Amino acid sequence: MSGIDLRKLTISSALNHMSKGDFSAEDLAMAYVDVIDKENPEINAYIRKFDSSFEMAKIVDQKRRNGEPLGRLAGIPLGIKDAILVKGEVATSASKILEGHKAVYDSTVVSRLRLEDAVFLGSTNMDEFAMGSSTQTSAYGVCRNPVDKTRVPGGSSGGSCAAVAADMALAAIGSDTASSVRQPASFCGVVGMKTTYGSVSRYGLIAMTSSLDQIGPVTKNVEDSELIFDIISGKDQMDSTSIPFEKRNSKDVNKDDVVVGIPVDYPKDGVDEDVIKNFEESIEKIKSLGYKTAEIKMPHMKYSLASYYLFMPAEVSANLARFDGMRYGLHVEGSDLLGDYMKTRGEGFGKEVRRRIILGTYVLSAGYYDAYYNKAMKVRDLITKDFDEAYKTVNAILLPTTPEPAFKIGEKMDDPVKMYLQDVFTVPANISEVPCISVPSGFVKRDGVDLPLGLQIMAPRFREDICFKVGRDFEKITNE
Amino acid sequence: MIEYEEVEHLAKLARIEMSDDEKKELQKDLESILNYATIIEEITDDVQKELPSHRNVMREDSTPHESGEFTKGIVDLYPDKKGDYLRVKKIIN
Repeated sequence: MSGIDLRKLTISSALNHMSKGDFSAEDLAMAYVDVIDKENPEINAYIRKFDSSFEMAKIVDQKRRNGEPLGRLAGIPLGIKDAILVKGEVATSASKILEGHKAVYDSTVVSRLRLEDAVFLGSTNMDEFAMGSSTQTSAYGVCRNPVDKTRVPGGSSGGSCAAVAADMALAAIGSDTASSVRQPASFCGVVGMKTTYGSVSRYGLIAMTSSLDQIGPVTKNVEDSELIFDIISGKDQMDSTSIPFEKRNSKDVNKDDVVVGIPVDYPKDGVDEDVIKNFEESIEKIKSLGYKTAEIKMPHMKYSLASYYLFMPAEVSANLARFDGMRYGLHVEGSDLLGDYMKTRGEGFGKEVRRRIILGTYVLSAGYYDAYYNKAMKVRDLITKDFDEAYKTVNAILLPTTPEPAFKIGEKMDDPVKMYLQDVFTVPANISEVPCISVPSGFVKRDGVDLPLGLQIMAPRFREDICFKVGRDFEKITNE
Repeated sequence: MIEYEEVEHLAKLARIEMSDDEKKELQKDLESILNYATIIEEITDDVQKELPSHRNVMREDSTPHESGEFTKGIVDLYPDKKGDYLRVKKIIN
């Protein structure tokens, strides 16, 4: 083992150590790979390691020795969610149907990280096609929560969050459609960011629900999250839904200009009492930091999840129609062409994916389209309007991240609705396209183990800087 | 109530082969998911859909990359091929 204390390392401290020569990028990559080799057989945060990691680290060390300019992530070892393409590496979205699928190009996020000299350690585990809240639907085995290995890490970016929490990566990249970065970040005690829709390119992200999917960082603290966001965000001509926006730094946000909204009517049914207590304590902390707060009403927020479970499967069924066994990935022989399709998709997709495709097909079928899909889209607009109204008087909104702490492996797998309820506090930010950060907010004890909880801080679209500012202040007081 | 035959039809439309047991299970699952989701029916509020400011994003025709740059990588992924051609089963008998 190396002498590097990974536990305390952050991106800025690691960069500092490497520039002082305390250790090299190769030493650092080696230290993380050592942990992966030791812990991954049990935690399963990675589906596969990349052979190229050490080569990438050596190039950074060489550049440093030569005195060449270095990127802002020079030698920082990252985990990349298996739904995000890294040229030449296999990317499967944790599905059997993409077994052996080797990416022929870099996703925009990955090429931007490359430009900053980051080191990629491997593909992190996830729910199949990002459909799930526990990383149990992965075709490559369940991922365990490093805090308590009998529990789930959350999902779908469970592998990315478990990797950061277990010192198997210094930071990681995930994607968030309804909760998929924030809920696992909360379960694993790390920081997870859902970025404004359109702020980060989706080019090279294997799609689940295109109108919601956003890539975001998983980090140990808010400062690291802001750095990665700054690097990966910005207009990309390869993604027509990416939007140019003015970049801002959280250091320029004045506390006095922030008014934090507290929704008085957030859904409380089925929410763990300790979560509500922790949320109330978090609100007090925010107040004690000197932030102005205001009570707000968001009457349609409680319908977010219901509308999501109507329009999301519709998009899923359309997006996943491309996986037919013809051009890449799994191919299972049938007696004719139709048989090839039926067998490939039947065997290649896991149970939850099959369930959502069928539900989406139903929702979009003649006779139900208006009642379900159109109605859900109208509700989506109403929820967005609630946010627009709220942002007339406040410029940040708080919510708990999850309705409960990490649950046991095996739980909720036979009850889809119970599993879906995991997204109750997180999906409103996706629906209204606003940025949202989940920051650790304390612990609750279950079976003698301290399980982490998270606080969500939302802001108006493209005002990530407010999320980072409030997040940094909250993080500081919570860590005291 | 979703009939078994309906699930069977949906599976066929979605081109997914599945067992009878799974179809029966799906019948129950869809029922419970839709049962939960239809709480949105109680909403009577209306909203004027605003056209998004970011729409119909076009670009000029151009050469985005060198011809053939990705060909080998893509062809390598074909499950069945003849030269650079993708081979599939006969469609018209």
